[in-house]
Amino acid sequence: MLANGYIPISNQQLVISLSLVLITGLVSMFLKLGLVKSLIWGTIRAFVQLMLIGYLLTFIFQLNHPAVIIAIILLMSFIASREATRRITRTPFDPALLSFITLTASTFLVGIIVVAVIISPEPWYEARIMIPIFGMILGNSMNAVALALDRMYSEVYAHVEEVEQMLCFGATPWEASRTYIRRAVEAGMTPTINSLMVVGLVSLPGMMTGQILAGMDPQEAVRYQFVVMIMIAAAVAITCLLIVGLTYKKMFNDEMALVESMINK
Amino acid sequence: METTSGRFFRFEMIYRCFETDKKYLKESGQVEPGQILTVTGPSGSGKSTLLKILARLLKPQSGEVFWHDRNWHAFSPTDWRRGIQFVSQKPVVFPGLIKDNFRLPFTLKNQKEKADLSMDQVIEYMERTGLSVRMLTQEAKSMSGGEAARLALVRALIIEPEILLLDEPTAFLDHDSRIKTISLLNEWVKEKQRAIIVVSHQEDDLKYLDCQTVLTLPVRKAG
Repeated sequence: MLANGYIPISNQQLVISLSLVLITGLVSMFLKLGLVKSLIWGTIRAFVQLMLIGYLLTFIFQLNHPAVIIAIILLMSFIASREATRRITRTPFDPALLSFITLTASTFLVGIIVVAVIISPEPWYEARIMIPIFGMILGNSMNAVALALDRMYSEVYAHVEEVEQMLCFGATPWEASRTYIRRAVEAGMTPTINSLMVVGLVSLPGMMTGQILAGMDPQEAVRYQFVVMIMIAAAVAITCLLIVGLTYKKMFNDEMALVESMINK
Repeated sequence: METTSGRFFRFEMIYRCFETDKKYLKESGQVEPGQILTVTGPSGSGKSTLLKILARLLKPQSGEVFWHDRNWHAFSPTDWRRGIQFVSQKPVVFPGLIKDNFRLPFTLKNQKEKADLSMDQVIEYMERTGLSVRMLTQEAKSMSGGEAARLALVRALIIEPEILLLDEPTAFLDHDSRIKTISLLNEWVKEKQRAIIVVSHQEDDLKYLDCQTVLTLPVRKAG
């Protein structure tokens, strides 16, 4: 049955979809992967989290208040910054705050251009547009922060002698580490650039698939998708530059030498 | 240059304890233009740490260093390190050709304003340390340990520092290359009225270097 151009999923159909979890569980049991417990817990969590977010989004979309929307985006940015830096260990400082500043700045800069200038809904802060768009930017920028920071520290750790030698030549911290900073920016941007290359050939992006399933004309859906892809690429580029620009100096002390936690391996 | 005792370069009560054990370094010393100061001592006495502190790559817990009678904090770290060149024990070679390695220090903002690379000087020092000029267009990463050590030394000399801080500069060299390199260092110090502080275990170094002072660091242990 088509309603508003999409086919709704009933409760019964939702229950039937659980049979797919059984397939995953059987694979785990057959190969003794020990993942059944995690799979059950993951399925329950996914269901509950998505249901809750469904109700919450319905509420927020109805409320459609700019202060609430901005508060939610800031909360999303905070969670993304924690997530981006959680697995990065052995840093000379906690990069969570600078990640939060970076993610918030790049997301708002690119997101506002896309929502207010390109899509231009009425009102411009329309929650139904802003939250998913900002969410997509944050999701990708979060990965870029994690990749760029991780690469920057691992490159400098691996090249401490080279960095110190450059300092001995009279190099500034930037001159001593720029080779490794460039590699970090490259590492952060590469997945996004790769996805620009293969989009439509290897996979159909989730947003476009969603819009087609929701009944949108594929030619309209690809326009949206194109805007989203270049928006993500721009946000990721700004994110990578900002995060390395804000954090590389933290690897050096006031004597323009590497801080000792970077030297002691 | 100043000749009054200790006015050219001196370090006073440099103190730093090592995190891993209770050992610590506590040392003073000085060197004048035209002089070589050799630092010896058992492993763990902090010889390399002392050189890194003098190069301002490590901070001491206390102590002062003076160059031309001015406290080290009167100099920017970049000017300090350019004038007081540290060459580490493990020679650092950058990707690219050998000539690119010589050019690298002269591409920096700090260096550009001060001097240009003299290829004649590079060739002279290469020949005097036993490196063939033909190597200039070789990949630097293809060098042996001994060749890399001499590259690092020549690269430091062409920056024309006033003081060289050398950590085991001849450790990777065979006897002949060691003698040639030591002879170059002796002449460089005398002709240019510069100074060297060298950490070494090698008997040849102690025997052939025109060393005015030997500073033997003891292993100091707290408690």
